[in-house]
Amino acid sequence: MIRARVWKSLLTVTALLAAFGASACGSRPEVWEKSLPPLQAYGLEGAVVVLDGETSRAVVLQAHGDQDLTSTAVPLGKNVLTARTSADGRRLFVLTAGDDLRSREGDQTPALTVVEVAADGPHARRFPLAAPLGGLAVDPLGQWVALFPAGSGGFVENPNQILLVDLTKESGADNPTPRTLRSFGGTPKRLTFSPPLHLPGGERRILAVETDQDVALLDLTRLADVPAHPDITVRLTGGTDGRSVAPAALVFDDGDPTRDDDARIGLRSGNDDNVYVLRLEAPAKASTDPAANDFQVTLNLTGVGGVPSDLAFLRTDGGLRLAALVPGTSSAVLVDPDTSITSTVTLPRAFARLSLVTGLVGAADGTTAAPGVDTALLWSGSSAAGVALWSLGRTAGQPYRSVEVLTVAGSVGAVLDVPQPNPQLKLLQASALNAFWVLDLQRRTVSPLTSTSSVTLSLAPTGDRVWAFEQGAQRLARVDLATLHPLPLAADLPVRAVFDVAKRDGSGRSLVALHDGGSLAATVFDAQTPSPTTARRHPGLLLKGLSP
Amino acid sequence: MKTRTFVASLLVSLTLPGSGLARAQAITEEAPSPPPSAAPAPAAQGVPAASTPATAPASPPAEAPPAPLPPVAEAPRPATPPGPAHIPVYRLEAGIRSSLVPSSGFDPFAADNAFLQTTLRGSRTLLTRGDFSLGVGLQWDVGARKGEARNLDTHLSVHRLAIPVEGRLLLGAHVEVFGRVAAGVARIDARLEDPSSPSPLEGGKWLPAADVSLGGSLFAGGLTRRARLGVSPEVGYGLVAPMDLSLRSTPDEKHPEGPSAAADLGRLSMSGPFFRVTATIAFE
Repeated sequence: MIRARVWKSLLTVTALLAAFGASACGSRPEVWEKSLPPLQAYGLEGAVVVLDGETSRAVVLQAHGDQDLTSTAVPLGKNVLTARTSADGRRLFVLTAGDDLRSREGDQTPALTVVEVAADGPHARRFPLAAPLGGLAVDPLGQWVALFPAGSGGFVENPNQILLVDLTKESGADNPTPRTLRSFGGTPKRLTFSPPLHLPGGERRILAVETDQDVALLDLTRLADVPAHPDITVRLTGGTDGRSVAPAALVFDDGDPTRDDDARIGLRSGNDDNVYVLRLEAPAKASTDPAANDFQVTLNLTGVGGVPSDLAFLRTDGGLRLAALVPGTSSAVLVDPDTSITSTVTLPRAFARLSLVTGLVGAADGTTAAPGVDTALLWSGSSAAGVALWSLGRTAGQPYRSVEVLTVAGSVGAVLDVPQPNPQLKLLQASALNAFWVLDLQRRTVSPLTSTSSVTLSLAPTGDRVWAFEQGAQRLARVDLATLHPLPLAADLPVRAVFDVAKRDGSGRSLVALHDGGSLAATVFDAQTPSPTTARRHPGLLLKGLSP
Repeated sequence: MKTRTFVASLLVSLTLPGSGLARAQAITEEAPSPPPSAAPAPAAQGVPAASTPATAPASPPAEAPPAPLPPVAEAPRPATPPGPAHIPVYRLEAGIRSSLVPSSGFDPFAADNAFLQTTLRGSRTLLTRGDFSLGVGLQWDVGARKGEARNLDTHLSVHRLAIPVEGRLLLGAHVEVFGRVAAGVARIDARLEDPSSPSPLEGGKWLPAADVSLGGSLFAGGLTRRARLGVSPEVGYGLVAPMDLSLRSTPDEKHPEGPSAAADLGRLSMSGPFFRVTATIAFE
């Protein structure tokens, strides 16, 4: 009896102590319960940035030394909506929605986070927003970022609201600057920043906003003026009929640099036979309204005989022309922007895309092209039309000098511009992805490089090599663009993306090959002399730094 | 005889809680002395009794009735010498150790901070001074934890080998308290099953370790005449040197991959408070 009491007391004490211990056990940070995200990686000049939206981080990978890799986490907001890199490859812009229902002090607001990699490591700048926005357009010149809803799913949203972030200023009450466009039924679909244009009021930069039925122009240079200057809406869809003209692309031209009344915007539609020329000129009447814009827009539309697939302003020896490719008629139409007079150029094939390659092309007969005359590269995009060089100039009454077709054994799906020091080279990727060609504009040659399977290309920013790999396989290769010699390589794991980045210590460049699956691994090769024996694999990249 | 008496008195004391050794000693000391003899001592044979003058025998004298047997005197109980109660020489212990590991390096392996280990320990008393004794032994704690880190399987195992030195103070036949210092080594092995690596990522290290604890033992009865069973709860703090969780894949025939850097999961320290309870068998 007494012994039983002793045992009972003992067990009670033990149970109490165990319960105390269990209650004091604590728990780990919530991040360890988060699943691993699908791969979302972006290459910057000196780093690879991997978005880990589950843990609200951007993991910045920097290579250095003997294929070492440092991993630094930069905080992001919750719920990543979209991301984009800058044109110069130095910044990554990430839009986040923040907490869905914000009711407490510490709940997170939507934000734009700018991730930059400096000499001392990665940094992040945060621009808080009032509401989540899913659309993002980046200024090629690096000053602006424009944000718009793009159906981001807010409870109540203004689809015509644009937020303009000035990257040269810190976040504040006046940055970003909100604007609401006048709405005639359309909502913004695509935003394009103009180069500097000489307008009647001085040099300006314009933001062109294409909706699903019209175009709005916003003067960025005078954005901070009070009172604010309204946007100028160019209506493409008339209210008198049921036809809806949807803008598909637009291009800018500053005209004569000595004139301030000939800046133009060329625009095509995806469902209309016309091309539209918007001329930015001085207002017909001077206005005393301080809010009035100091330029006006006049519109000309010209039929080109079919739905144009691409357009560009070109300089011919007859002057400036707006060239529109009409693959439906295997032709290109040159439109005089002043008179709207057209000249049709019959093309040997149904080319759908064009890009300017002026100054890069060697003459077939050894002569140099006439100054002030453009040369365009034409390619198909879908059919086996090959590529062609279109020299603009007048020859015996013809509105072009020549269209020279360069035979390519396959259809060209994409053209990649090779940066300096080899801008005369273009990478032509096959639509079927099992081959690519190196087009040398100087020599007018097309060199094929074939593959046993579909290949993805990654051009090095140094312009002297291209990396080719098969998605989800372990094989990859480096092709030297000077010699076109392929160097086959292999990784231990299937490759999902590759990035050629500068080493952090300035000792050269590295190729960072990412392997998704699990917590993300990367294999680092020396970019100049890649070898499987010197490459190093770095596993567990999304597990590092999770605990404080 | 001495041992037998001690065991007898111990048994008495165990059945009477709170009695302690003193009571056993009192019982022993109060053993009554044998009563004085009531009957005359029988005449020794061959020794004539004091005789009366000789007379002619007329008739044989009547036989005297047999004298009653004198009571058997109880052998006096030897007095239990004053001094300490008997302290067992050997102990074998087995139990559970529950540690609290607040280190952030533990997070990949467990959703909470608890780490359970099994303890096996043997010790021997080396020195006795009154109710105080000093013992030394060998101790092995072993435990493992399986968990998930972002849905990836993880595994952590810890072995601790130590030489405990404990000072014990007997508070009675049932109860003793002790303080213990155990110095030794710990072997920590970690593993991560990650598809981003061709083979599992593993890492392990031998590290210096030590425990400091206080506790008590409560003996409730004897298994045999020479052994008794008890339970020993204790609380303490365990110290283990921290280690960097750098896990690497190990190339083998199945996974002949190239050189790999380590996956860095932070820094793990298994130090922290613990609570342990063991079943103790103490015997001579």
